Amino acid sequence: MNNFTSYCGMPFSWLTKKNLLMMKLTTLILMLSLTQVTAASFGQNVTFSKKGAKLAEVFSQIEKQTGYHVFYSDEGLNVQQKMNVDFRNTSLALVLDEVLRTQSLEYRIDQKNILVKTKSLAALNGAVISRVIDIKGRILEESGAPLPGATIIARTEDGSLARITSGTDGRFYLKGIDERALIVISYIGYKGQSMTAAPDLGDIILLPDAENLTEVKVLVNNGYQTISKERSAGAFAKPDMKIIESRTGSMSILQRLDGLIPGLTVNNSPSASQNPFLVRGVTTIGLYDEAGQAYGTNRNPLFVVDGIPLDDVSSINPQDVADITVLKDATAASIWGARAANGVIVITTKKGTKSEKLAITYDAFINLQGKPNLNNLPTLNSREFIQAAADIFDPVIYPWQTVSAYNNSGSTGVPPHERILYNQSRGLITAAQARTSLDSLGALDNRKQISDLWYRNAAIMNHTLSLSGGGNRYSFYGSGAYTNTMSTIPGEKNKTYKINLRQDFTINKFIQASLNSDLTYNLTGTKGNLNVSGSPANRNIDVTNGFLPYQLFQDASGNNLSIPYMGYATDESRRNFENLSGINLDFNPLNEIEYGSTKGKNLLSRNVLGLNVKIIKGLTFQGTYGFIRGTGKVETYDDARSYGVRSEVVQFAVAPTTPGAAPTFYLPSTGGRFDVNNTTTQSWTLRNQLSYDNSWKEGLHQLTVLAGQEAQEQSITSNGSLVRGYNPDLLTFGSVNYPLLTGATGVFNTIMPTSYGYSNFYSNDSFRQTDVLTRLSSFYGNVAYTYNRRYSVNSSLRADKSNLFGLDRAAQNRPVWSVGGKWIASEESFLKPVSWLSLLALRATYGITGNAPAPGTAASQDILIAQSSPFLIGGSGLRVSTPANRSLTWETTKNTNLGVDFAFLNSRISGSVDVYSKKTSDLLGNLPTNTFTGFTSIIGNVGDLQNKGIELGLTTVNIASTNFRWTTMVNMAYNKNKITRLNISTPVTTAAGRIRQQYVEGYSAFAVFAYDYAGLDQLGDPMIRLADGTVTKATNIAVVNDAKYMGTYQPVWSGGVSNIFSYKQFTLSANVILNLGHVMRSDVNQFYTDRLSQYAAGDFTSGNVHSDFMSRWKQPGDEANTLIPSYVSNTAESYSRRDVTYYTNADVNVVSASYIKMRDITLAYSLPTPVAAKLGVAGVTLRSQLSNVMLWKANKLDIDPEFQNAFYGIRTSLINQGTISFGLNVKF
Amino acid sequence: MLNFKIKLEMKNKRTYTAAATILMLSAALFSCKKSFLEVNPKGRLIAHTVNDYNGLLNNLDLLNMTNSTAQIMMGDDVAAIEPYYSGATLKTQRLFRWDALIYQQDEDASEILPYLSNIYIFNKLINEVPDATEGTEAQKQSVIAEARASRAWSYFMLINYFGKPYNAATSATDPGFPIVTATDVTETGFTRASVKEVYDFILSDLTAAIPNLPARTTHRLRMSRAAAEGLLGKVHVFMGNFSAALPVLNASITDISGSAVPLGLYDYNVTFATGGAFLPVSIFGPSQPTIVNNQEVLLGKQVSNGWASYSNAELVLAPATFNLYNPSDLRLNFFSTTPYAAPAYPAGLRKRSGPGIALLGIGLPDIYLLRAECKARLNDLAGAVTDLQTLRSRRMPASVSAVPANIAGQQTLLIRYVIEERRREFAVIGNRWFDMRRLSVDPIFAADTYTHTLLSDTGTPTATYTLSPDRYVLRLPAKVINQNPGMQDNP
Repeated sequence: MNNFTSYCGMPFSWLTKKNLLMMKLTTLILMLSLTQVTAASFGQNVTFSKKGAKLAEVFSQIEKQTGYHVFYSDEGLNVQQKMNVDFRNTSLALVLDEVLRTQSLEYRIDQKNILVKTKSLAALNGAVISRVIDIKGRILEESGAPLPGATIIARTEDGSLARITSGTDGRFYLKGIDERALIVISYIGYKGQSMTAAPDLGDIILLPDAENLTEVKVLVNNGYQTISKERSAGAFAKPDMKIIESRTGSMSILQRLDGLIPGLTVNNSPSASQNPFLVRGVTTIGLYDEAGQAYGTNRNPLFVVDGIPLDDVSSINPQDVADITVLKDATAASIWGARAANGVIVITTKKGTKSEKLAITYDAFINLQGKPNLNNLPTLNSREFIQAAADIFDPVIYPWQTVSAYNNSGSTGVPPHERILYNQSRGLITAAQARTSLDSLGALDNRKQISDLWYRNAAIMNHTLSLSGGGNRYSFYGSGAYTNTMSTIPGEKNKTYKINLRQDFTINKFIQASLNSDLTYNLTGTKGNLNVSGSPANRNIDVTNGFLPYQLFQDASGNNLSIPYMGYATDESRRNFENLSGINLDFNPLNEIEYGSTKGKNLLSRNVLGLNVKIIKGLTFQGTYGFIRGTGKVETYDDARSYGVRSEVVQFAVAPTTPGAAPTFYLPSTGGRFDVNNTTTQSWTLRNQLSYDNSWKEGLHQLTVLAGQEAQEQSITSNGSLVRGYNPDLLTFGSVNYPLLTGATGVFNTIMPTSYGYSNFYSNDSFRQTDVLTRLSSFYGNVAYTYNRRYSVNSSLRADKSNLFGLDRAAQNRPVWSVGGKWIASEESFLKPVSWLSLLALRATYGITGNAPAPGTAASQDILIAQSSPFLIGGSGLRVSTPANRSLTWETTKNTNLGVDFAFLNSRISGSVDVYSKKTSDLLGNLPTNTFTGFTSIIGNVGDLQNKGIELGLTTVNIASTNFRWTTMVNMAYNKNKITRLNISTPVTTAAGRIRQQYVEGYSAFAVFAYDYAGLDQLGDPMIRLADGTVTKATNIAVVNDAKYMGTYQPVWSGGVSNIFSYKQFTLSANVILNLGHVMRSDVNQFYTDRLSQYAAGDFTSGNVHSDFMSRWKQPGDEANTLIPSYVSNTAESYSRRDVTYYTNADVNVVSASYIKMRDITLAYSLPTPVAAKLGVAGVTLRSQLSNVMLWKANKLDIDPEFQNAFYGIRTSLINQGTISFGLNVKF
Repeated sequence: MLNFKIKLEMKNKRTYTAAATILMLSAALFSCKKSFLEVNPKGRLIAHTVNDYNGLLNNLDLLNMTNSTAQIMMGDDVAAIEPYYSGATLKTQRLFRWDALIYQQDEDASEILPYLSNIYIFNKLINEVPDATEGTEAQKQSVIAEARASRAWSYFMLINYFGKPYNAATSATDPGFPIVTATDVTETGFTRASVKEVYDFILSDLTAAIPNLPARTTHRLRMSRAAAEGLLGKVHVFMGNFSAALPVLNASITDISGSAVPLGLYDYNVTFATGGAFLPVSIFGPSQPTIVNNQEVLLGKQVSNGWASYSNAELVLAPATFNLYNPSDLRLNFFSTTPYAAPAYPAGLRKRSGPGIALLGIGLPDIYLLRAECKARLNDLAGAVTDLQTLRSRRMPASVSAVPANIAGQQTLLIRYVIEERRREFAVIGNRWFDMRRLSVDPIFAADTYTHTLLSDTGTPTATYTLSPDRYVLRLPAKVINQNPGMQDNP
């Protein structure tokens, strides 16, 4: 036996402060310093004078005065031995030499530790012959439970290292270690220990790191507590944080998880914009608005940062993140109750360590993304476009009078190619003149100008400087970050400044506190607006190859070109309007964007106070108090020169009755349009919990009990106002007669009416305000019991109540719960002898999670909302927005999870497999009601769905030699989703209706249906094959069963493979992600009738058509060679004769969306420590990264599924592909 | 000793921290008392006060009877014309042909939905206002009366779509429409009340409401006593009970004079004269005041009439109805020889060009014509002529406005003339259909038959449809029949 073990074996309360200090050694320090320092280099001096001082006293004085800890083995060392000492400001080295010289003792200084031992015989003889011993020991938690996974490092004088981790029983063996080696034991979340080597180190107890208020014990952090991985039966996953840190293609911490978590599907396709992150499939459908956007329920996982739910985690700097845990099953997630049905992602930010010297890290990267690849949009080139336009020109169906007439604010001018054609048909020019003009247009190509003038190279740049350190009672981690996101659009600005500070205070032995303070300031800005209808919320300066391909934006000498036909009126009408109003209605896009701006400022402050009070042994009170407040302001300004402002003034101007007089302006005719919108989000969380953690009989029984209460409030307030006639210098604005302009007929006979013969606003847009308040009161509890370190049971229970407006208490009273069990089979005696098996554990869990409707979507009482109208008394009244549904309840998901954790061959191969089933019932949706109730449908519980799947996470250490290491991580998940019941309000009877549905009973969510295409007939009209085999082109004939199920557009298989190679100072990591088994609609030509070049004013993304148009059916016989229908200029004829959606929604246009992408490949190089030391830094790492390289895709159409709206078949420009990043990390 | 002291200190500290913890816990729990969740979000409301309920009557949902337009296509005052008719909606074509099947399998009837959703609101008011807070008993009674009279109007519309025309002999057994008085969206299994029960329900609502309704009309969207009296008179007329109708119509016209908002007939001789309020007559028709500003509107209930605006071109004024107009009748200003932005119709046909909304509520011309009819029916021919003149003199020049003398003296001819005046006044806005229904059981008109003509794009008739007696009634939508197993549909 030696001294350490006897000290350590004592109960905690008997340990003196000195002993605690002696044992303290942080892992970090050891990791960082590999160099040995001799005592001579220390300047610490000692003053101590006493006759007959015991050796122990001397050591004690040395510790007190120098801060160094003295370690010694009691073998051959008598600390009671007395001596006379008289040191006055004597250097430590001299003191040690003096004191130990006579004792046949030798010492060594490692960091702040003085290791004293008896001189070996060899040393006494003057020769260095080290004795080699085998070392064993066992690492235990304070409770007596074994602590697997702790790192044991043996460091010898010559600097060589041996390293091993403790097994599941906490035991470790190190073979062939120099007996003079220093043994350092560390484990994240625990105080490190070090000691001199000995054959049997006995039981070594690691104490929890006092700074860790949330008790980051081992691995599983559910946001409320952390529990050792071995004791949790839940299904959870954690990414490799090194990959997360170096993934610089995005500043989103969630995007960086792609491919690293089995069961987390990251879907970047535009069609998945509402659910880019799905944990084990979708568990809710929600309600749908007119635009097909889901609302009413939340489909994203719950994000928890430092124990506090946070809706938007975009403000989190990935460099500040210490740890991420994804909770997938009921046992893992049900403690979050009504919001956990979609899984929980728990993020913990970094913090400082106690007694850690100041560590400074600088990390910077730049990610160069380049310009979007517009050429992946298949559109006609100029020559093809002009040819097509001439081919299909039909001045009979579309007479010049109709085409050129000003209708209302939806109309546009006539583009040049059409004007030429009409001029010819009207006899204004000859066919030859027309031909010449058209040929000259066909020779122009604006694609280079679009790329050069409307786009720039995008980049993300980030600098993060972080500092951490700590003393006895205080530690901190602080960081400052600057992120500059340069989008592809010139003039756009997006800069984020961020300060993050985590402080930990040890108030006394019983009370600890922590404070997270996090401030994010985001500045955004864009230039003006091409969207001439330009409401502040609907501005854009998009220009794509979807625009007329011949229209240039600058002339040869670089002057910006006017394109007035992109306004509301043809040249003829425009001149008339200009004459009547005296206002110029020209439209010059490149000038236009200089005439306005949008500027945003957002400030987010996140504060979390933690409190940890030890009450009695094992019982702790924990308080978490979070306060988050964000304020955002967006100012949008269009000055008087902008087309939007000019045209609006003309829209609300009435021509003078007497020629030459001034027109009557109903809107201010000078000054701009200014809109300001303020948003305030505020939330607070108040949580009090008691946790009891203890064990008996040397860890035979281990019990953790948690009970808590939580109150939360979240409010979002926004208000805005819009003024016209604004003068930004004088801050004055004009007055507007809203009662008149919002009236049913507004102003009659305006110069450029917005409606038929008159102009009006739909509503008074001068002021707006929204205010949403959500409150939640919850009680929760959690029990984890482990018997004999092999058998664990977990259970949790939670009850949530919210202020969800008008909801009956009874409808809310749905406590969620879970139970789970785990058996570590490899601990059983019959499996112990199996040497290749390192770990085998079986897990099973069952439980309930939920999903509550958003406030105001449904209620047990009639919800009334205000309405405004000039028709009503006083201009406003009330209406029933949601009728009462007294039987409404939350969505409930029953989760079952079976899992196996395994490790083979000394943990060279480790991983887990999980099989799950999630059955969601009472899906919120539109529930059909009896017509006579007054409503055809109400918001109610309409259906059930289920998810089944299997997940694999595998880590293999393929090669682990001294210099070369190769690790592979594989994550694979399969999810099968099925809507088992859906009671939709409007039963679908037609195939067309079925094709529009994404949720169909008996099929996967996100279903894609299509017609069974049967080619073209002799008129080039598309035909389909009905379920009974009939081939037809008749419209409205296909019924539900005639639509074929093609698959789901959500990946069925998702996962990733990461390979990390390290050779000496180099690390190469390659992360491949894959999404397989899903389908998408390809983008096809949609233009088969009507006039070519129909677009909205100011829309520079349309006008051109899909390149497939060239391959359309043109003459009888073509049906043998093409599947693409003919063009029929008469819309009435086209619509009555055929249905072109038989082709556009055909099965032939649904293709596999599977793909495999190299998400990133990173090469990192760390300077050798001596080189770094010479530079005066602790470490320098340089890295370069290549991101987003498509390795394989199933479709032959060159569609990147991440840029394809899979449901509607819309392709978007490629951006951020094949990008390069460079990064630098310096530790001081 | 030293050890003991330390222990004591520690014990004290523990006591202290434990006490602090308990304090914090109890403070926290106190903050979570029940009222924590009792907050009303902004922008939404659950009605509690009389004022809240009154606000529900100030409601556009009670004004707009969305797409309840079947009557426009079924009146014999329209003819259909190609090529527009082929492009018309299926429902338009079916209604025009007086088909039995009107609604698709899954279709909700726009002739049912707006009325029932309004009835939900009226039932809510009738059931909940007695327990409302912050209001006098008189205010409560007024709100309830308004809801009851409005509910009567809604049922009057429903029974005239889906019940047989009122026939005293058979009404007790003719299937009518379910009477709903509860507000429960989860209720199922409704049954049809008889036509008589529905009319009795309407009459009881109106008679109970009238004494408590505001004597002065203060806003055209709100039910006033004059409006309820006008409605009650109309209900009596539709039941063939002219003697009961006349006194309430008289009362209505008396109460109209006390209105707080201007009510009266427009004189088209003025409004279409130079500088007149209805000018200019553009391709969008005459300039028309909105329903809340229209002096002829006593109770505003409206529906968009696409066939009287630029939207729909397939229905034109039936030549037979056109022939009823004197060429100088200023009401012809509301008709156009061209569809919107398209070449003229053939053969001098014309469509209605305004107003783009059809009044379903109570209008003054209707009340005057109803009273004229009652007087004629009750043999007060002079009185009837006076009421006719009141309207006619404001619709055309004085030179042609007089009721022809040969008609003015003969009861039956005069009754027919009143009905013709109704056809002229209300052409292509749907009122004709409801008159056709009630007159089908009227001895004077019972022998009349009705046809619809489909015209080619050159104006020649290509098809004729004849209205069969069964088709005075719309069949219930299949969806409704399916939702209520056992419910009897109309033949």
